[in-house]
Amino acid sequence: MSFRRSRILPVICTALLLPVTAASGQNTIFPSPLSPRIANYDIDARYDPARFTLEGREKLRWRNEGTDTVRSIEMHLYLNAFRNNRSTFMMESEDLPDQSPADSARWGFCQIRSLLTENGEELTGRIRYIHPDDDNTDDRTVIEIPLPSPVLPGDTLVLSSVFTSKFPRPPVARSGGKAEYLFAGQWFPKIGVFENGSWNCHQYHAQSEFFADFGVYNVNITLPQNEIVGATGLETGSEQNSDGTTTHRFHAEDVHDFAWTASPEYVEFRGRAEQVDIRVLMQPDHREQGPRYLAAAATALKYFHDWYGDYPFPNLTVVDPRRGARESAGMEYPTLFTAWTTHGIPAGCRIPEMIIIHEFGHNYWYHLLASNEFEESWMDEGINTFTETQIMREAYGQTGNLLDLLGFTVDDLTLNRVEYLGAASYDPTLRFAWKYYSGASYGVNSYAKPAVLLTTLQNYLGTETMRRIMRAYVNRWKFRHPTTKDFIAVANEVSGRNLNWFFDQAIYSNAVLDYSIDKVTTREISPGRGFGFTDRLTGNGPAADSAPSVPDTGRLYASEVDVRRLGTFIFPVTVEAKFEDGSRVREQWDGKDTWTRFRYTRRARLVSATVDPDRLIPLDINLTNNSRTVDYQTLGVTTATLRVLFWFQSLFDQPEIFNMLNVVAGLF
Amino acid sequence: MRYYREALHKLLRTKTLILLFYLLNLGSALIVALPFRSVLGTVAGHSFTGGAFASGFDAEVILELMSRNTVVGPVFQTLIALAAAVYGIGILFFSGGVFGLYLRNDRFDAGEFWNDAGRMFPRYLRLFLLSLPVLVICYCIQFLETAFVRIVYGPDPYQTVLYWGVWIRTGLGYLGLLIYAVIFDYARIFAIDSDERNMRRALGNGIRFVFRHFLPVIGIALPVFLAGLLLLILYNLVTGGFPSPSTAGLIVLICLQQAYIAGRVKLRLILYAVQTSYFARKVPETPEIDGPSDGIIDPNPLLTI
Repeated sequence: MSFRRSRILPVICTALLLPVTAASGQNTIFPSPLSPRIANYDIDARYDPARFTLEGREKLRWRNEGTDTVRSIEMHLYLNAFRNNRSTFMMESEDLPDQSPADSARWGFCQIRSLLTENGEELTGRIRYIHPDDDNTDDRTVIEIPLPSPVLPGDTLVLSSVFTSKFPRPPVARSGGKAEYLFAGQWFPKIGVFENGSWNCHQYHAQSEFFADFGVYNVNITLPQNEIVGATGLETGSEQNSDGTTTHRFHAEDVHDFAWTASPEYVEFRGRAEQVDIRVLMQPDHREQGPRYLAAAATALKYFHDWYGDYPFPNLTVVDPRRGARESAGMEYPTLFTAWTTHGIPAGCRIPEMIIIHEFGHNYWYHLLASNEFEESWMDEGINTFTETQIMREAYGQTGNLLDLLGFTVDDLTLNRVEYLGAASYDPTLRFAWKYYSGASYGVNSYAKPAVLLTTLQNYLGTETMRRIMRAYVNRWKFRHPTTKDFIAVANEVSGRNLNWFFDQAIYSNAVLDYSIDKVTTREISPGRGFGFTDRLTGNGPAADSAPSVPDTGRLYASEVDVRRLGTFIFPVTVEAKFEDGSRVREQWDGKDTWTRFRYTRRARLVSATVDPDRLIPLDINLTNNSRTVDYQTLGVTTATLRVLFWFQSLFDQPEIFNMLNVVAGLF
Repeated sequence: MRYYREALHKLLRTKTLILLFYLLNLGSALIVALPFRSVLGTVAGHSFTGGAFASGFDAEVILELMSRNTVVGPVFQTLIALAAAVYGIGILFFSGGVFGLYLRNDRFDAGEFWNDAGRMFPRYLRLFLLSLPVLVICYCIQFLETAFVRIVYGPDPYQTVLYWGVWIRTGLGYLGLLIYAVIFDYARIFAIDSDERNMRRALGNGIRFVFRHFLPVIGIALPVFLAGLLLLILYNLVTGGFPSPSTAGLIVLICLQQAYIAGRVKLRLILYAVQTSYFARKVPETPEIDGPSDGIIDPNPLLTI
């Protein structure tokens, strides 16, 4: 009989008796601290897979790094977001019906059973649930504890707690279990961040991630011997216990969170890239994709290493979530993240690669930089989506790097841009995560729009300059919780330009960028008559007088190009006019006025005009109006019509083809 | 093969039918295609985006057009539904004429064709409505796979099981649709052959006929289905390596597309012809019926086969 099914473990009692021994005898990873190490945890946890419940003892050592005296502390009990359907998380998740567990046994919670100071003073009775973000008294994701004695600047507070965590089933929002599988995220009482004289400790919201201080984690996890465990940091040892359990000891330095996973079914793959040990924990029904996961992780490591700086940690664990546990997929934790795939996914569908590159990227923007995701989500998700699109393009090609299947190609940046178009102007990019107009707006402003706007900036500054900015940003701000202002300051300094005009519009406003060619005209000028004139060719730009020679028919054409700014976002643009003789003229426009007009007198007719001819401004919300041709595009429009005609001729004759949607629906 | 040879002879004697079915197909698709051309011309006719369509559909352009022109979507959904309805009703209308013609083994005669088509259309419409539960049942055949997986592997099977199950379910889905299609075809043939007015009875006879001669009727329909698939693959192979956009290329493309559609029309008519031949052989003589059936007398010739 397996441990999971025996149900004989006196879990609670044993857990209460467990000494907090994790701190002793651990190896060190780094010779000197990389981070301030403010919040340090020693945790002993005993997990009962039959009940998806964990009994834990935690010793928190928190140092007051500020200049203010601390008289109370605030802590997160994140799992209480899944305690009932009245939590702020659940109330905000109304449009996500599957977030709500089907029966009460499947809800999750985190309960502190005992809280003591280093001197043995009992604080349990002082615990008070607070709601810094709303007035929801049913939300229990943040607690406040008045301290019996204040913590002076530079002093360290030591608190010991005994807690019970129950994981939701199936996983909800990153954490939980299903059958033999567990992904444990946000599972222990975790202190908020004390900054500028007050606590930054937000409730768990439906549309938000996290913010925490760096520290050292020593975590012992006791669970049945058949479980295969992966966790943040390094496994420094394990010992088998007489009750059929194994205690796994993990040690992590300079991290700001600790997550772990367990399943007896994991199939393990190992690899190494850029001096980093990669461990992949695959589900058995995805085992054939283990090498694919390893290759994608190695690709991510390589590009991040080359472009943005060293990944300072010795190892990386990639977790493949179980079927039916999709809510735990695609989530990042220090040195560990979850990916996603499905059996039979074709090689041309690079969703697993994209997710792995994205989630690995968080180990820079979320882990090393550790900005406040509650308040400035774009600083992690957005910058990360930008770097993801860059790597996808570099590693898998300019076109079809995300999907290249049966002649249908989609690239990652395009998909992000299209997503951006869906909610381009609801909010400024920067806003507290739960205050966006909608979940879609949060998604767009946290992920897609930053990717698109940073690509636009990169095209404006040049790739090399942008990489120098990103590299400098990582080097200067790692382990220091940078804000948007810090990022902008680095961009200004490294580029040598004042880019505030760009960030003011792109980050601090909801302005949309849309330049269009409004009108193109060309007409023959009548032969000259009368006194005192010359037929003078005009038209700015380097190519104006370098047109290929054409038979001089003596005819002159007057052409005009009207360019309009339709959005409120002002951006300098290039306008290209193309003439019948093949010559092209490029103009620069600062884009400030609402329109401008370019006039040409040339020996050839104007054929077309294009604003942003090199497609360097993906932030432009309408690329269709970026060009205008004098003549109607009969060939293109007719070909498209014929294809549509043919599709419908075929579909009407064989509607049974829709039955093939079964396959698509079944696979995804 | 004997039935197919006969069917080809019938088809050659009734070439007008090919034209009729082809025009119906073309006309229905134009209900969608012409407004599409108009909208595309307005949005992108004077831009490089419109010009780029000459070399095929660019996913980025399609996604952007869809996301920027959300109002157009519902209009086209309505148009597509309308066109599909026109095509379905048209096929149903023509089928009376076609089955009558093939059962009589005549050359195309416009008077008889339209007479049969008009006479049988209200009955076929009733038959179609009555057959909808059969369609649902046949389509649900695929859920046998779901039930099998549930029983054998439980509620939480590995994705490897689900993966292959999806393909099996898709195959069963096609089998279900094929069974429904032949039931509907033979019910229509029975109705016109016996001048049956009770469509419930016609449907019952169609079902009985199909299940009594299950392998032959499926064997007749399957090659046509496979030939259609082959034709599609052939079309894609030919147009896959299509030359760069030009007016000449466009004309070749039109010819290939319409040749493919004409090929599919012929396949449909061949199937109708084979089915009527097979039915005629299995039901050699329609018994005399004294007056319209009222449910008391069972004139069903199939029961006596």
